[in-house]
Amino acid sequence: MKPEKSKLNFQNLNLLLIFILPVMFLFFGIKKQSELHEKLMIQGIAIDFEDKNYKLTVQAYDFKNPEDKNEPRTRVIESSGISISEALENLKKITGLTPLYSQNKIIIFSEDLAKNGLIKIIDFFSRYYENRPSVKLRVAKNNAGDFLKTFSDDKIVKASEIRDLVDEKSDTNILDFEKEVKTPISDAYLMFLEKNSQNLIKCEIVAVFNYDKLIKIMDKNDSIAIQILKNSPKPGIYVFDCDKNLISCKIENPKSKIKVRLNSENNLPGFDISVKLNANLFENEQNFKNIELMENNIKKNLNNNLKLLCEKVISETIKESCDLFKFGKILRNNNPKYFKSIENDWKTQVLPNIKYNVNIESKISMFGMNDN
Amino acid sequence: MNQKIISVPQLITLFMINRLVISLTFGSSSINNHNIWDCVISSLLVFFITFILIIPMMMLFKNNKNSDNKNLDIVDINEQILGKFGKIISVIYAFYFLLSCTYTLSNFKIFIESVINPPISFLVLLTSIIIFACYSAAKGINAIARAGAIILFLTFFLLIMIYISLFKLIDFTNFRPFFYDGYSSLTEGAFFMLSRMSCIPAMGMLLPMCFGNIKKGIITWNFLVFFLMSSMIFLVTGVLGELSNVKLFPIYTATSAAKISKFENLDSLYLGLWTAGIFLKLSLFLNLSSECLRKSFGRHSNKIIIFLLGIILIITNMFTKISNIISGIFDTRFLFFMTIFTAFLVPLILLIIKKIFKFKQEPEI
Repeated sequence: MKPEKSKLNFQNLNLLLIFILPVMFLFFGIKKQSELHEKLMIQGIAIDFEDKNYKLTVQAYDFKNPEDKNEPRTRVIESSGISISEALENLKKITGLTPLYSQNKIIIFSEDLAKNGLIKIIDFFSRYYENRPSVKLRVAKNNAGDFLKTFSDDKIVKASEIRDLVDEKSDTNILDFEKEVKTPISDAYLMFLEKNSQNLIKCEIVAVFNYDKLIKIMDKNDSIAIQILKNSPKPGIYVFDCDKNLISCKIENPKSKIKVRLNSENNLPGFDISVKLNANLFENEQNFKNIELMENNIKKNLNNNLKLLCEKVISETIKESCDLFKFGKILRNNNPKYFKSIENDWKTQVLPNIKYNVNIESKISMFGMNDN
Repeated sequence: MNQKIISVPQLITLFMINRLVISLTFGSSSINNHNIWDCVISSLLVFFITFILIIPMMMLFKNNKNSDNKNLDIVDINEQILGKFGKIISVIYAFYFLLSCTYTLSNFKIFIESVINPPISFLVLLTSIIIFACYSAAKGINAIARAGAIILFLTFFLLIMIYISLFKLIDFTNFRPFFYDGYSSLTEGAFFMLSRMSCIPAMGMLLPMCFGNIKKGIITWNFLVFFLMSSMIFLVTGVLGELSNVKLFPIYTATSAAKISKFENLDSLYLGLWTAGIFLKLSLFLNLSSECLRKSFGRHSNKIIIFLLGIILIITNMFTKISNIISGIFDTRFLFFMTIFTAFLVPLILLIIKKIFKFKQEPEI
């Protein structure tokens, strides 16, 4: 009898695979990986532009030199370069630590930088794999780096604390900003950082952009109107005059609807904007005999004041060819043929001349605990 | 010859995961930078075209049994009717299945290198995933189908999470009127979807192994594919708007910004979903490709062929670049031709020969 040819035994091969594969993965450990204490965990980045160089101020956790046993030290490091990536690369040369961007909370741009355009900088943060698109963006008054170096009660104000100054749903992140910038017919806004007389950081007003360039910084009431029209859930406290008395209302959950109509006479589009919102009464200097009279009077004044404010804001933004409220998109979706014919002139010729009408309908849901 | 070893739900599971792998990478770059929103209509068009494409395959397999009452697959019928020429067709099928694997791995490579950039080299990652896929492929269709059931369960759970998180971020002004920039995106989208419809040629190998109500299964599968594709395009357009036409992997970008309650960074779910899908797709298509070759040149063991195909996959994918993904052998027109040839033309020709010449099946020796 001929001896049987030795065949490859696949049962043994299966066993071999079971043992080889885990061993293969052990080889990954041979490659040197940087430990946590060798990393610079970026928390916030502030960007200024000085002498044709990007100047970066970075707030980061340094685990190598901890504050105490429980908390890493928050370091502020400055670096510069002719591009953002070069400036960030220089961080490693300065600190000897590898920057880790995935934990970054906020990016702050200086006002001057924002006026010159942010598209190149945003492109880096949107393209680089370590950055997350949910990082919040801010524009800062004067020098952006100062905001990451601010102290309060002898402690540095952390990047996460600056981020939390704005309600998350009202905030703009990298993806939101990029979406508007990459769409030629609509524009974006960012929250604006400034300091008060006691050197404390506040963030309650809005910086408006045309494409990627900062064009206008709105005042507090205008910023509330913008946030109402943009359906931000918490636009803020609105103080207004009601029959020579000051009333303070907390505006919440605005829901705006925009309807488009074409004017047959001049072939220009018109927009009817109706907004429903909740207002909670906080302070009232007036005395009323009954609550119904008070409600009607406050509502009437609040609606009128907000209507005028919203119309003012729309007027100011469209004059600058800034389509903050997506009129172009709404017109395109409702009248595609008409919009196609004016698409190239939309922001320069048509938008500044559109007609609009704002209608505010408020509901006062909380009057406080006083009966007047 | 084939025994009926997998059920219709298992077949749908395999095909659904296979389609998911393609759908998750769908973006404007896949359709020559056209608008992806119009592709919702393309997916509806493809839904109907798919039924037409399947007809010859279904008719060919109707009551197609050999003398041992075993079911013949497309390779068996090929060789029975066309003789030696049939071997060439079988090699084309094997090549097509391998091409489908290479395309998937090329997408994976581009994704890993541009989005994840892990500390280990892609070659190690590629080798690991192919070794696992080869092992699974060698275990046979039944084992792959059982693995598919587990993956589908996870897929279902993860997809629901992704859908809920993305639905909250939809801005309805992002939906442009259909065909705002013309009809070219409709045709580009339909071409893309049809050219990657590798499930129909795979039916040629799998339907004979399948038991249950096949017609019902195929209708369900086709509807689910349409729903998956159109819902993903709907969500991505709603969340990203025109930015979806700029991003290389728009569905990944959308998930990276999504969150549910305290859960954020949902892009990791996307990665898990996709990697599991890739593993299953590679296993299935390596198995099918090796079966085609084994049946044509039946000297070698199926496992050795799988091992060799795995090596070919590693070598070819080492040289893929980002520019190759819609050009050369991955050009939509070439893939479209290959898909139509293997899914529609070959079964149609075989069916015509069979009907016209009243071809009699020879008993197996």
